[in-house]
Amino acid sequence: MLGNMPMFAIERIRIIKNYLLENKQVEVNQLSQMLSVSEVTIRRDLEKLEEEEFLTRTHGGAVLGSIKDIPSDSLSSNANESSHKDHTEIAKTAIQMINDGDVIMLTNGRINLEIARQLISKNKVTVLTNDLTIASHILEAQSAKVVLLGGDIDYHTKAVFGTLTINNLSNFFVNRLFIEADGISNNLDLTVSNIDMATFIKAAAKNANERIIVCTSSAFEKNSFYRAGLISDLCDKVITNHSLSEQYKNKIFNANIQLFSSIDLFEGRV
Amino acid sequence: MGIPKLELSNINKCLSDAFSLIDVSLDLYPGEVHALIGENGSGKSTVIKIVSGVLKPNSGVIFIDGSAVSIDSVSTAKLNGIHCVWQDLTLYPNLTVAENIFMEYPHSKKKLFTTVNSFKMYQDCTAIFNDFGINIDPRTPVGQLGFAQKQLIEMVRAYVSNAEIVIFDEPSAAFTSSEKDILFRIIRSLKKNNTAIFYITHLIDEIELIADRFTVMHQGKIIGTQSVSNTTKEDIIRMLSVPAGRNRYPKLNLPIGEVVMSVKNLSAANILSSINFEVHKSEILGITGLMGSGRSLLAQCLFGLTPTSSGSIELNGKKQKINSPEDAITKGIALVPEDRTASSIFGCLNLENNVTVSSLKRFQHYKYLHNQTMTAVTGSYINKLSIRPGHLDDLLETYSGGNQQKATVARWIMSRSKIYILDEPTRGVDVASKTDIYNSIIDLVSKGASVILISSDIDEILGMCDRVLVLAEGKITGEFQRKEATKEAIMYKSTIRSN
Repeated sequence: MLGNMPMFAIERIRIIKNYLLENKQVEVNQLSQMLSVSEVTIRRDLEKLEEEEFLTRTHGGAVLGSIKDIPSDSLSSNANESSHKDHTEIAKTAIQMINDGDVIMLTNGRINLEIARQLISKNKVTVLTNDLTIASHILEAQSAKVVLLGGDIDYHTKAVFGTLTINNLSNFFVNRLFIEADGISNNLDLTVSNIDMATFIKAAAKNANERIIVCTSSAFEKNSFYRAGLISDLCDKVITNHSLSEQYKNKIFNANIQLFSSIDLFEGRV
Repeated sequence: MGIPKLELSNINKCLSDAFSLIDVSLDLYPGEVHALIGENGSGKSTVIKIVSGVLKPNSGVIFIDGSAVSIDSVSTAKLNGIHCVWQDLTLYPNLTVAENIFMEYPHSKKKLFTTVNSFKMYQDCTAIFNDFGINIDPRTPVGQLGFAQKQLIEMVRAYVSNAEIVIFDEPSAAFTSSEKDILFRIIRSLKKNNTAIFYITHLIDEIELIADRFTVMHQGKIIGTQSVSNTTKEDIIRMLSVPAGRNRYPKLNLPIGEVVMSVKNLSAANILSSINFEVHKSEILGITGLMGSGRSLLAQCLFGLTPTSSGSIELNGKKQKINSPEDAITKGIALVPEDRTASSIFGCLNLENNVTVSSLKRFQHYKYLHNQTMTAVTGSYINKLSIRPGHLDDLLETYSGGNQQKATVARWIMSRSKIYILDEPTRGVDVASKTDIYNSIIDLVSKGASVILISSDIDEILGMCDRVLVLAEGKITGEFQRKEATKEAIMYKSTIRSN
């Protein structure tokens, strides 16, 4: 956080630009908290940057790039496809860690949704989650027993957070917890884009036997705003993609954490 | 006990991010044999290198006879009366045995003329050989001797050096028991002459036989120094097996399938005898043991590289003859050998050829190779295993050890074998590549293949394997399921002879 010093507009705009270049999208309330200025000021800054065609404003935030830059959908759908592939790969490894009869918890996120989709191959699994999409998916597929935590619904993530959720959480103990991380920083801090989510993850990590972080390799070195803690305190295992940089493979192994790179090498089965 | 002959006081040395010596203090008295023990990478050799002037410490003081000295080169170490017998040989192969022994201490005829009195030299050499019971002709060129014999020559060299401090770096690794007897005779007579001796070893039995005190090292630190007379073997093992940190080896808890390979009563090369074990589908079977226990020999037998003298190998319940690597490969057995440079990579071939060489049949298109498919498939392996730099045309000899090893792993995974024998797959491999190799191993077993993981790294064995076999002197001395395997138990079985 940058403290309470008043900041010149030009400096603010530089920070916003850098943040967007790194993270591709941002929310107004995040920026207002980070830069200690009102949301109105941030909206004005974003407007100005939109005029420069640096970003496109969205509901409650902004995404990198001008709307004019992306006329055809070919590019974005390609990126979507490859990130979907990354998610499936990770989920495939995760599913092999789940035994029949387990009680697991899935925090909100797209990789964990993918894990929920693949649960169909398991028997008698109970899933605890704060993610409405995950809960409704399991409900439709009837692939497991599902317990949905209560609390304030966050519209952006379609998940519940807050004091209510955390109080609710203390009633449960799970075999395996899958934490989906938005980012993992250079010194192996788990970061997420929402303060409530950070608090939620810290609380969840205390109520599990085995804790597993799931995170695409592209999320490494991408810093989100809110720190949930060092991954060595939060988990025993990390599942990510094989394209993870050597630097991080080194760091994670040396931090005595099991690193699964969901490598899919052997063609077919024996 | 008086003033120590040699004393190291708070020596620190940083070698890399991953390894440094931390506050090492040791002393050595005249006429004493002080054993240094610890697993690979615990820092024993670094201590020796500092004492013998190969490495300079970052801080700390070395005292000889109570006064501080600075040992900044190998020659100052020699001037201070320190002689080190290295693991690797330092002999001149084209000179005779006696010439090698007296190389630094020549028998000059007269002071003025520096011609060598070779008659006296050979006479002295013969006398020494008779004293110790060494049966080698002093006039043989060293190049014609075997490895163990050459090492004996190195030992005799230490004896004639008249050094007051002698260091032996794992001297007995390649020795049979009669050669060990000779070594111990040399050490005893050095002791009698009041020589101070550092003795590095892996073998706990040897400590009891020869040492007065021992020091255990672990990760660059000293765990403790004790006198041998009031310590039992079990105590030594307990000191050695410092509990590992949290398990960092990726491991999936997969259901183990039916037996795919069973080895019955296998014996070979007068080393392995009555080896019996089974390997299951989707299982990682660990095999560990000290150097010379026959681990690699066993791998070679299973792959048809070394003929077996008796016993049989069954695959899926059917007796099979594996007389050559070709036999092994057609039956679905793959071997990643221990010595990468000598027996697995083709340094002068490019990356693509190295990776595809065992799977060329897959890319056969009429009488030709379908290059386009081959390149595409190879590219995907290179990408997934992060082989760097990773251009298909790169010569493999220019690659780092870790990347060469990953190319070998890629080669065999591409061949879609059923049983993978991996002999020390992560030795001399960087950490990032290690994680790639471990993840390839779990990929293999999750797809139904079986893995025999041979390793001297006990943490790796404990972290990766479903079941562990311990080899000692060519026999299986212990078998542990994953849940019951501990470092202590494995060390016990591999260092102590089972009667």
